[in-house]
Amino acid sequence: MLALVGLYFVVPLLATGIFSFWEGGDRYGLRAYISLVHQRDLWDSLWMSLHLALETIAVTLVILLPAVFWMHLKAKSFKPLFDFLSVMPFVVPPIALVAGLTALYTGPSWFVGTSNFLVVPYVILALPYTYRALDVGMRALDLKTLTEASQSLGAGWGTLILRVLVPNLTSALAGAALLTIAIVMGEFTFANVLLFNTFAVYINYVGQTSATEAAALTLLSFLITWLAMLGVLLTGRGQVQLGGAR
Amino acid sequence: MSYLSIENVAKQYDGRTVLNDISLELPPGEFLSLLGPSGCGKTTLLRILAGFEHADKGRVLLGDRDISGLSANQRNMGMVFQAYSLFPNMTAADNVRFGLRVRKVDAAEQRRRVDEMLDLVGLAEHADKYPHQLSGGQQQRVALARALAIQPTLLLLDEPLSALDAKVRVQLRDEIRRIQGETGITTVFVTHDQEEALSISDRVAVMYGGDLVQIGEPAEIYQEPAHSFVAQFIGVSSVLSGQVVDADEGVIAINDMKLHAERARGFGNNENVKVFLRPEHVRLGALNGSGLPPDTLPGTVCERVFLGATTRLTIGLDAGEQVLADVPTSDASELGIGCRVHAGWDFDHARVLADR
Repeated sequence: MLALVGLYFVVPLLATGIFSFWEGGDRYGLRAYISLVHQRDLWDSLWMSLHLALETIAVTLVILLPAVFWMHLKAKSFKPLFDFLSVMPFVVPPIALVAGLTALYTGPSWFVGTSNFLVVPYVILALPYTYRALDVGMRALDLKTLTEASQSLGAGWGTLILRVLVPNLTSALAGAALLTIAIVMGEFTFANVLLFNTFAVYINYVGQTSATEAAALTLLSFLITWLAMLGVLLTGRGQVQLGGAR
Repeated sequence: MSYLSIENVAKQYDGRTVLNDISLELPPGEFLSLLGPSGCGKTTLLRILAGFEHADKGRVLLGDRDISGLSANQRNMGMVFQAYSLFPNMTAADNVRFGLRVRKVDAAEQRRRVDEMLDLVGLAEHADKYPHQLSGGQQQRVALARALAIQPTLLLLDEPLSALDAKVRVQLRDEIRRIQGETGITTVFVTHDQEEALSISDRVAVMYGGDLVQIGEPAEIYQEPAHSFVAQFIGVSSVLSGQVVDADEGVIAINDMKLHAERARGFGNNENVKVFLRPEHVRLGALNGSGLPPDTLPGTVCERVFLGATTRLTIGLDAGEQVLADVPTSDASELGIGCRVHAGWDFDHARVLADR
């Protein structure tokens, strides 16, 4: 059964991989990949998506880390509300979100007129994953005791967050960051509707013009996502051992 | 002059009184235990001292300085918590160093003080270990070293031994007392364990229902309970209900039997009282057909518990109440279950308190 499920996933990937090397007739080679490497637009779109992913991570962590920390420490009764809000991106279709966002948000041109605007929906899109990663990480810590211990030693909130909280949440933070990268690299709807040429939009464009290059790009996109997931797994293994005694 | 003064401190949560007008003073270098059952307000009082909670009323003074409005990180008080509170990402040495780094103490002085503190708690060789590599007792010792490293104005210990097993608890208890004696730091220790409080403290403050019901030296708390809760909570006591029939002579009546009790002097005639008897102060004798000796109550042995050198007998009094009596095990053999006995007590040791 497991092998059958494995085949279900592997066969299409394998077929895509083989197809990406097809050069017509019975010839196979790296032409699609070489062509891609020489496309400046690909690198621009890849850079834009990576750039957006990093911005999304930064904004997410700056907003979400203190918020989830505060919820766990001072407002546990708000947890059901946080849980509910965090799954909203699953409930609201992206197309409705993007329509709402464009109607609702105005602002300076350096923000609304540039790809930076995509950070807003991307933070929302990543919320179910980033919130849950941080929530699980913080639940594993005795936040109240650690907070009070550091305060009794003279630490303010900044020291507490940077020297105590963040180092003990490395796995959760890395997980949240890598999941955000995976989501942003693959996001199509927002970017396409708002006319930004991100990596996913470029894959779609290439798919309409060159099928083998699209297959090669799809594999590249999978590779990026898998690397992010591998990163999540590896950082999970390196988690600081919390609580308990020998 | 007092080192620490707590003046009329009161605290409510959702309309429920947790602390009711608490006042007490500590001289410098004193080891005070706040003792009481769960929910009596002892931890809340400690948290108010630490700055984690703020009193609704009253104030806390350190010397003549009112610190009530200061936040926890401005008070310079060392605290050891009930839960393991070491920072998991730091070694034992880094944990001890944390407060010094926050204070921007220079590196050489940091090293010196970290070494000194780890040496003081006997963990110098474990400096590079992470919390999960240390036992519970070792973690609490590092927490103690960390609290002391900042040279705090006050050391606050919030049931630091309760998560440890019995043997380690006794070892660490003695160690805390030794370290407190060596450093001379004024200490407030919260516990619900009376043995812990009595064995370690200069004074014990017993709390009950948000009130400070008695404060005194351990022996005084044990021997001279001033409140019926203290009499029952500290040690083991039997309680008999009675009425003062002759206050001048110190005579009380328990179920129509008149008995002498020195402590009944000073009460009003016909006042209802409770008589508290420690098992070690109850004297038993077999009723062998002879008459009942004066100032004793008749009863029957209902239960025997072997305690080693002594055996604890539960006597069901004919008057309807029960009295515990510790007798030497060598004498207990003739007082089997069902044996008729008479129970009396040393007049001086029966503690008589108003029945409120």
